[in-house]
Amino acid sequence: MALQKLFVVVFVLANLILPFAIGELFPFTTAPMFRDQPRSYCEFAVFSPAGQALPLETFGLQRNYDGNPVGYGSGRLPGDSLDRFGDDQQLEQIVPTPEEMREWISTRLVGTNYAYVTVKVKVWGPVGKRIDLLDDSYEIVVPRDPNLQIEPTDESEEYVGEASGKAESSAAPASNQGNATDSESP
Amino acid sequence: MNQLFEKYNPTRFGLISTRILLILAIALGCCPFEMTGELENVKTISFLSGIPAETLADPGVMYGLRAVLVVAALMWFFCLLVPVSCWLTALAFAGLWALRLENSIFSPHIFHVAIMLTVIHAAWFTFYRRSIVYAYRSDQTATTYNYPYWVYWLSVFYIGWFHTLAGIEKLRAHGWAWADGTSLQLWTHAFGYHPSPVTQWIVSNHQVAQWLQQGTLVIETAAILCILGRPFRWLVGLGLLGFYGGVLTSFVDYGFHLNAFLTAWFLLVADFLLVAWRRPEAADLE
Repeated sequence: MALQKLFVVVFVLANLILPFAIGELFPFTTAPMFRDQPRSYCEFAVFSPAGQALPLETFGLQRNYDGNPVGYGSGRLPGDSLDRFGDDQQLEQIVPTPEEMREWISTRLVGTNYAYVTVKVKVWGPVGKRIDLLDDSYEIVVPRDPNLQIEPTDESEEYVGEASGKAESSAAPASNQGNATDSESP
Repeated sequence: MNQLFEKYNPTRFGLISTRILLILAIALGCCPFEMTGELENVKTISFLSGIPAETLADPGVMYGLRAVLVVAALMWFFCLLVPVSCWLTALAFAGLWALRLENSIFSPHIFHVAIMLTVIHAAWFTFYRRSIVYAYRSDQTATTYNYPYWVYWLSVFYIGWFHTLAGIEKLRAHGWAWADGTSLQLWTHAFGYHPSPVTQWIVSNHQVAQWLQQGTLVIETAAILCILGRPFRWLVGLGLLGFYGGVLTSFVDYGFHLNAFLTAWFLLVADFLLVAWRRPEAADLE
């Protein structure tokens, strides 16, 4: 009976104290999910010149946030991303500027077969009583050759708002992709 | 409550609870999960973090642990090699989920409750192994009464505390202002199942979202009160089920089903079964 009481006391004390003393250390937890307070979030989409949706991971636009603080309680490093969902920041800090986006994407275009890609940034936030698209949303075309000037076209307008990270088509870097069907210049 | 429970304590309820947990353990042992992100050796996030990341990412380790978990859980299920099989199951169950966390950029809290409850029930089997195994082998679990109150109480305590921690974290991060409605609308918009009417309701109505968020904060933070007795347990149980009902009908595939089920089983269903399966003399006393 004494051992049973000891087990109960140790179990209770460990669960009462350790989450506050050491934080997220499985099997102990502070249950941090959704403890943040986002004010808005971005939804990204990248399209090839042919209008094909490309994987966001290739361009560092994937969502690393699932409701838990990014990197908290997980063992691996998420890839770099411009997605800042989960940061308790104001709109201007959540939404990358077109200049920031252009620079970010152009470094990742090097080594792909694409002459350019079209990037759509949808910014969602409160509008009246509901969540809706904000005016901060934009679309830009980023060429692999920074000297090229390309205007957005309507080719990729079939995109209807899949959540970030759900693009299904393949966009391998040049080293992994045998053909160059998407490499035509506009 | 303790005295009342001593009159009720049927082994049958404890055995069914244990078997539910074992089925969850075997299910985890058989389900593949994806490794994401880049290897990192500097973070301490689980009891396995001292092991090199390359070892933790080794498929052989993963499959070995899965095999240990399934075999040990099956042995415990059939009351073989108790209590070794119990602790092997608890360790492998926790180890496999720790591997999942170590090899991911995400940290879902899907199996924390199930694993802690498995530890509690492994302790029960350890302390009562002779009578439990005897009752099982002689097919007398329905008339054997050695499910002690502390096993049930600890299970209820952990479920309550797990949810209270979630409430405390939110209060620590943002205070009562956390429940502003907008954040819930954004999460639901980003992660929710859009064909669901509940999702649409939340996304399109800030006032509803704010009420739901305030209700969540209250019920989560107060969940530990469930250890105070049946009325509190029912109140908290119904509140948490309402919360999970909202979550599961809007987020749908977010993996909270197990926590919802175990909450309902221990906080609500248990009362019915414990009364239905009480000792005959307890019924006479009533």
